[in-house]
Amino acid sequence: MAGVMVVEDDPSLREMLREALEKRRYTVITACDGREALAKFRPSVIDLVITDLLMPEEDGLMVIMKIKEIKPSTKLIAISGGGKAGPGSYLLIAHKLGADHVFSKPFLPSELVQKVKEILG
Amino acid sequence: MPHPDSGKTNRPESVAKRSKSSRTDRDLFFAEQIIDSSRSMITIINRDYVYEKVNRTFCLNHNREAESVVGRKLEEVWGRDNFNKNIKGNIDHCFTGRVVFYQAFFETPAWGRRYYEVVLRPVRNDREEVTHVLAETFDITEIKLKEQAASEIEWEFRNLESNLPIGFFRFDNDGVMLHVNKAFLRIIGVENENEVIGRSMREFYKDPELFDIHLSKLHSEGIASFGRLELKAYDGTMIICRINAFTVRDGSGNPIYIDGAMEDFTREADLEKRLLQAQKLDTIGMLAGGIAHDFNTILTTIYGYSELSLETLDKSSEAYNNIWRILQAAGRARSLTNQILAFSRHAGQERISVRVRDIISETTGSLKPVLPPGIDVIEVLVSPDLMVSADPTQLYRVFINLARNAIQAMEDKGGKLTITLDSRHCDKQGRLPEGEYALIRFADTGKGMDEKTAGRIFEPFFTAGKQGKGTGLGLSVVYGIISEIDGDINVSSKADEGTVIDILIPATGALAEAIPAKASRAEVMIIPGSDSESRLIAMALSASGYGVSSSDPSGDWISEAGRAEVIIVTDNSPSLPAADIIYSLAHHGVERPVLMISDFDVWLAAEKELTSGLIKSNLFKPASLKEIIYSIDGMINKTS
Repeated sequence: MAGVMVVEDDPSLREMLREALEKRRYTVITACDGREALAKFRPSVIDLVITDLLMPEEDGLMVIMKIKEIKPSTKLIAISGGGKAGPGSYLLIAHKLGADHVFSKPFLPSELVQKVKEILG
Repeated sequence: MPHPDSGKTNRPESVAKRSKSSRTDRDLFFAEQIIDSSRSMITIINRDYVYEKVNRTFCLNHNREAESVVGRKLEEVWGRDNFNKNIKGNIDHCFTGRVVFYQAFFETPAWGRRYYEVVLRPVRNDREEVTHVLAETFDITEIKLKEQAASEIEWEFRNLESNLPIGFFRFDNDGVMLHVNKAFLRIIGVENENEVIGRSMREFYKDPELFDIHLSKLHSEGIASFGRLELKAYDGTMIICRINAFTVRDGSGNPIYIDGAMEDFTREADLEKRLLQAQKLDTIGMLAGGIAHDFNTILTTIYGYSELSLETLDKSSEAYNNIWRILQAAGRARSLTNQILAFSRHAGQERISVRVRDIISETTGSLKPVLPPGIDVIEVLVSPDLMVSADPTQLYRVFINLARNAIQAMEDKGGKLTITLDSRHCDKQGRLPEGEYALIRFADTGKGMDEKTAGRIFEPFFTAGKQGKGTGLGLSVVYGIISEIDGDINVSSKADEGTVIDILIPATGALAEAIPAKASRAEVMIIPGSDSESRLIAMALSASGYGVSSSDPSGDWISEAGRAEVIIVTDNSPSLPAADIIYSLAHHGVERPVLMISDFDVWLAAEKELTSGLIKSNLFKPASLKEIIYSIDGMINKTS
């Protein structure tokens, strides 16, 4: 089954996302910020990265850019709580940097899982 | 003046010879020295108008020898006309026994044109008869020049006093106005000083008792400064002034009157207040935005575990129902954070050219069917063609919000809401850049607010209504939307009389209509399409370059929907539940991407209960044009 990395600084949300994805039999690796994400990223294992955008240390936009460098085929989903997606927002920048989909918080795990399924084919 | 010793000769040859016979020649010599060294010109004239004696200063000034003047008639020396016109009368007057003073310009070869004061004194003989006139002529040119300069300075000062924007005033010890300048009248708002003189300064104080305190302070301390003083103009409007005044005292130290200067700071005070208000709202916005961001993260966890739990529970179980309610409550929290973000976000709105009256008529149109009895809504379109650059969905949100507030304020007693559209020119001095503006006024006859409440209504979470009615976010969102399109909002309200809210938005004129439509972006269908919000979305999308059709689900709507590239489903119509529309689309196999614009509950039900995945994108109401366009373009890119 495909490997998914969840990068989120809020521990309870990070755990919830892990549970939701593991329930659908994805292999899940979590990281609490961009720096840890880049340290834990294994190109052979991870097919998709779900990353928060505003985080301490390396932020989500940096994660998207670096992962695209390391393994361009990695799929990316950006999540952020700073409002709905719209021009000028972080989510739009994430989209322009190559995120396959963006979610504004809050969203339902079923929405996310549905999207993950769609993206990974 | 010594009498000349003229009894014997009756023709004194020199002033010195007036001395008594007992005087020595030395005395005469000294007297002659004194007279000759005087800075004044001194002459003795007899009754035949002949010079009998002139001093040295006279000779020097006129550049003449004494011999060429003494023994000659004045009219020969100064010319007949000049003598008759300017000299003779004064001399004759002096011969009647009076001392004569007059001032005149004289030309002298030595000094040119100078200003002189002439004193003519009668010279009497032993019988007290005036036999001669002694003429003493002082050069007062320097004094005259100084006087002239002083009067010029005074004129300049008066000019300054009346043209400076500083009001000068003088009032007596009881406060009765004695003098004011033009600026004072301008500040107070009267034409004529008679309307002020004689009245008490106390009358111009908003708080008359404060004047008594100020007056006693001026009497005791002599000088005082009163900043940010609230005064009443002649028409009763409040003005903010700064006053500096001092007590003028007589030689014994008793106060005579009080002089002072007054500056009008009303406009500055108002601007400062509004700037502070704007800064305060910005700060609250940033704070609230930050909280909303974190709150959304927490809500995602609440959503997540609720939904994960639902999957494991039997739908008829109590736990399932309870968790469903948690989800619904979380939905309300989400709508709250969205509103906070709308207030604090400065991401910019998608702006198109909007005819303001269209938005007004959609507003009144959607309100009229639900108006409580006794409440009327009236449109007054003074400038019906005004255009502004704005997001029509956001502008509608602003108008609806203000109108609903007004209606709420009139709920108890009934009343009238008048929505006026007019144009307004703003000058340079205001907070807004100079130019033409669309003025949209919401004037109600409701219960109104006090000044303190009116000053706070745009703060998030501040609510003037009853506790539990609304979140208190409505007007803060209104403020956020209007500031973002370079507009401004003013509130004026009086308790029990009503509230007037003025919105100013830069007018773009009718020119904006001439801008060619953008290249067609996509064919969009809106279902249902007959309500205000749907019509506005259709109008906005159409102006943004989309091909827009709308339909209520009747007739051949399914095949029409099949031809659209994107379908927008809203839950605006109570008789056409969004879930039913989605269900019909799924049932007929329409595989067009659906953007659902709804309340959270409706979306949750459709998403959970119907075919998951049919709704490709969702927005919660109220959705902005920017969000709608972003969602549509996102869906098209994905499907293409």
